Amino acid sequence: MSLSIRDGKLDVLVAAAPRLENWPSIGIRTLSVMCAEFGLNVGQFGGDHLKVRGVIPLPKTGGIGVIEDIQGRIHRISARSIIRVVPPEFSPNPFPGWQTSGLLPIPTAEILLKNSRISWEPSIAIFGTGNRALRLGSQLLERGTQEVFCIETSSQWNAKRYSGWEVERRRFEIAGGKLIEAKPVQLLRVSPLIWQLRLQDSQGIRILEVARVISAGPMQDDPGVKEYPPGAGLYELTQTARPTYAEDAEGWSLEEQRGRWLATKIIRSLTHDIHTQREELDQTFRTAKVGLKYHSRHQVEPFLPTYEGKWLSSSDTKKIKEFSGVPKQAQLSRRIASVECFEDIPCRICEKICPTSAIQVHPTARAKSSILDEEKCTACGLCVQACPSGSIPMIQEAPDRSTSSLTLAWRGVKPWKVGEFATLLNRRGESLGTARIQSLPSSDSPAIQLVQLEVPTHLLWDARGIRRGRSQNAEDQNFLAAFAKADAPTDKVEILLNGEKRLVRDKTPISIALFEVGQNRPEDALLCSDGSCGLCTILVDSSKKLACQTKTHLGISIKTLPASPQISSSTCFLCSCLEISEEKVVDRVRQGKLRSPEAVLSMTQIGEGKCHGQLCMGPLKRILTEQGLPASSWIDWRFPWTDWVLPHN
Amino acid sequence: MANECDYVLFGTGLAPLVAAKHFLLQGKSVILLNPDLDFFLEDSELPLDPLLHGKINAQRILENTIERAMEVIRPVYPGSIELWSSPNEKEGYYDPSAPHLRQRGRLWISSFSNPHADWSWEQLEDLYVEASDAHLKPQILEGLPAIRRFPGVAANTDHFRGLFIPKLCDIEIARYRSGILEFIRERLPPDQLLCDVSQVEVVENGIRYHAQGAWKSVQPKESFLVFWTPRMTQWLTQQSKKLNFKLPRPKGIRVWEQWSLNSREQPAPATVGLFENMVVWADFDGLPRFSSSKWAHESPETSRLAVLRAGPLLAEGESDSQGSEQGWVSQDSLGALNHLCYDFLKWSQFSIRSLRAKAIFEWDARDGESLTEINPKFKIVRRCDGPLVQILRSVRSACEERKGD
Repeated sequence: MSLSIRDGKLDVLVAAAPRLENWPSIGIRTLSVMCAEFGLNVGQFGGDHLKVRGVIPLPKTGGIGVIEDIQGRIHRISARSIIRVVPPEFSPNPFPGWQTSGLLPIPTAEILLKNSRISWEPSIAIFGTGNRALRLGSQLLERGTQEVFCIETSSQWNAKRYSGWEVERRRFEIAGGKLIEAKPVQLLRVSPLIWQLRLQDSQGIRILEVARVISAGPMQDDPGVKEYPPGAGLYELTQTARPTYAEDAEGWSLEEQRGRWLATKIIRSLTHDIHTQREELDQTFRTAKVGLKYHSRHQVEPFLPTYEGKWLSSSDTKKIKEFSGVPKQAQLSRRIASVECFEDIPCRICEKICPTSAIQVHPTARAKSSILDEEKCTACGLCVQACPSGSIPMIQEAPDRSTSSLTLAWRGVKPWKVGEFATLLNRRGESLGTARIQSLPSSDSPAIQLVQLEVPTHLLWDARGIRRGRSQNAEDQNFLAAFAKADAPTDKVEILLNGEKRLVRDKTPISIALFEVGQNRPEDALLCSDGSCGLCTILVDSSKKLACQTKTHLGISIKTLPASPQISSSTCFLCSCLEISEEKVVDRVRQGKLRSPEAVLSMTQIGEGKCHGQLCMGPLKRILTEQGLPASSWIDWRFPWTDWVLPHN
Repeated sequence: MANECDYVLFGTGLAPLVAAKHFLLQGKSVILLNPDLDFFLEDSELPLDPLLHGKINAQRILENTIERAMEVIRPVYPGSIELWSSPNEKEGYYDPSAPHLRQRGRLWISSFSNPHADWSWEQLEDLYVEASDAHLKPQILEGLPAIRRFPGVAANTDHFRGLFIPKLCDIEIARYRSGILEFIRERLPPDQLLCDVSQVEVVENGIRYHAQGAWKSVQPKESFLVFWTPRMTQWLTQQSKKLNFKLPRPKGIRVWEQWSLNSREQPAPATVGLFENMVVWADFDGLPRFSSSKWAHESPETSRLAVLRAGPLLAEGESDSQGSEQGWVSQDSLGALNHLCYDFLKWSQFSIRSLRAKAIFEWDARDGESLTEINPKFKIVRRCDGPLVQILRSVRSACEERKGD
């Protein structure tokens, strides 16, 4: 029997690693277009129809990509340069319980928040204090979760944040989130829906009772583009772009710039006849470099306002009032937007949505001119609704009166009513006093309510958030409970789960249904959109299927495979597939004086288990880097990338 | 001023380590240079002799028996070596981190009409006679007795026959290498065991190289030995042009693919099977562990089948060029895997866990000794890749030849 294989040749092969959120993302599109413009043949392989099984690197000549198409045919593409696109790494360093079903990576949590009815009460702990972690924390709080903790587990806080962090932190703290610095000690299940997270901080052991722990990172500073072996033309690009620009403008822009930068590098190495276009290429390279520099500006010059008690320090208040996005005169006579985005943020949502072009936030515009054109602003409120971080209020200052007007965007579940009193919050979420809801200007988005408040004039520059008073807590909880009940799905069907009858939502991916009934396993944690991780195998009506790719229906019989005994709250394996502990790896490195990650893999077999390192490779790289090995710039090219079921001919 | 030492050894992988140990035990001074970051990046060593190519006779099989292999492996290794020969053998002192030398039978399987085999049934019958004469106790098996011994077979069929020779061996290379490296590290100061060495040049008074951020030179009193593995070819080619000497030419570079498959069946651990141009064995680290679970293949390390497949023989030089692309994961290799798993082992489905691609020199048997003398102080040691036992023999013979000088 022979297997039919199609051979092909390209200059540049872009290959999707498992678990990418969207394909092709902006960085890939930018890179491909640029390379094609310079005459290079580029192929993009990924998505539902073309599954990349792996790459065989041939450092002197490029490599071979092995791809399986939707009909099970195998394509063997040789290319002079190969780019592997990988998802960001979310796993924390190992601690007892880290691979239990209580810990979810952030992409899974985001999918569940959007598509499921699982409980996020009473509180959530998030490992990581990066932009994405804070954004998810804010969303959870706005949806009614009582408490969200963003936990920084590493001391290098600043090195892992990029521009936009200050506004995300502001939104998170205004919504009631808490930032803490601590190391996780253990994650224990105390009831079907509650986990106990033990943390070690400067005060000692701290215990949080949480519904789930979300691992968001970034756990270390990631260059985003790597070449390994050096000079081989074999690259790895980290996908930071979410499916839509609005979901994460910074990540989108970051990946775009990285794609542009990498394209120029590849074009220079593969194309020799670019005399006429050299200037254009150099210009693109410089632009990308400047763009990337803007992203790390926060690390160099963070804007972290100082407070005197609850009040912004006078020097920072002055700095804010002098900022070019903040109105200088017009707010004294009429309502006007105040763009309080102090950092150089690549997000340009407000600029794009402004119908009168009153806002210009592009980095080059920032340097040259004012961000806000006071004359053009009509106070339509579109930018207030559009800003994902809530950093644009509308203000009207009346210095000669006791009250002024402040308009904010409200994303909470329970809408405000005119005449209600709200607690005013400063930029850190601390209470400043109360204010009355003056009016509710119309909003274009059903999820966002514009709230115009009558605030004491002396609080106008400090108050940037609202919440309901404590006396209203019980009423709020009743509202949320009633809301959840009203929102509860009615289309439930009866299924058999491990022989027991259960009610689950109809036509829902089984992975999500397992989360909703509290029967999710550690294998369901990755919840990839295309089944590419291949870990969530279950028996559906006696045949083996992937839980994330199979939907529930009436009468379906589901049997989960026995949970791996090595995953529990008391064990702490770095690689639970092969039961390899962190201590064993460190011992091997020290005893054998190993100097390369390949040597560690060869000596420990780590990453050769069922998950192919999808769960453990991030922590392993950090551990090896701590041991002095060059793991941060290393790419694991082992073949195949996930277990590959070879088709019959 | 150049340092002096008796031997300068230059190479990757296991061979230079073995030579270093040999010379250290002779009381000689040694400097060991490795262009790689460490000694584990070399992947051209095999745990067993595949017995697929070249002249397969009783003599070659005898060299792979556990007794003969131990004669070579034991004196070189500085620690304990664990022997394993059957699933029930577990008594006595056991060092789980030691390299395991496994004693397994070798089973050549042939269908009654097998056009793809590299060897015919007549050849196997000749081998049977030779092996019997050499008291290797071979057995001719037909039908079910043959097929049942083959690792990973899921369904019985009587269309096959086989030649079974007991008590051949295979060894865990990474552990073996690690043990020797630890021994060397304890005896050589850090400035005499250098990794990540670059720009090594043969100059008038010795060897010049760049390591640890500085240029250094060393003058070997006895000789400069280069251990030729495929990773060293580029350097040797450059030197042959520069110093105007003729490099011995191998027959070519054989492409080997070592696949690891997830097996629904628990493969028989005590036999290594040969089917067409593939060598098949139960893959495990240390001792085999077995599970009674229905989902045995889901539990750690229980049911993995290693398949070592011989790919094409590429002309030397071709492996560095686009030509080598033809070798890896080709239509032939995936077709052969399909044929093995679906047609022969009768699996309904299988998944590939990993692939290690190796390139190994093949030398003509008439090439003679493994040592090539370029000048009295510059020698090249060949056959430093391939089966571990063969590497040890080559290195030992090269080192002993030096001693005789």
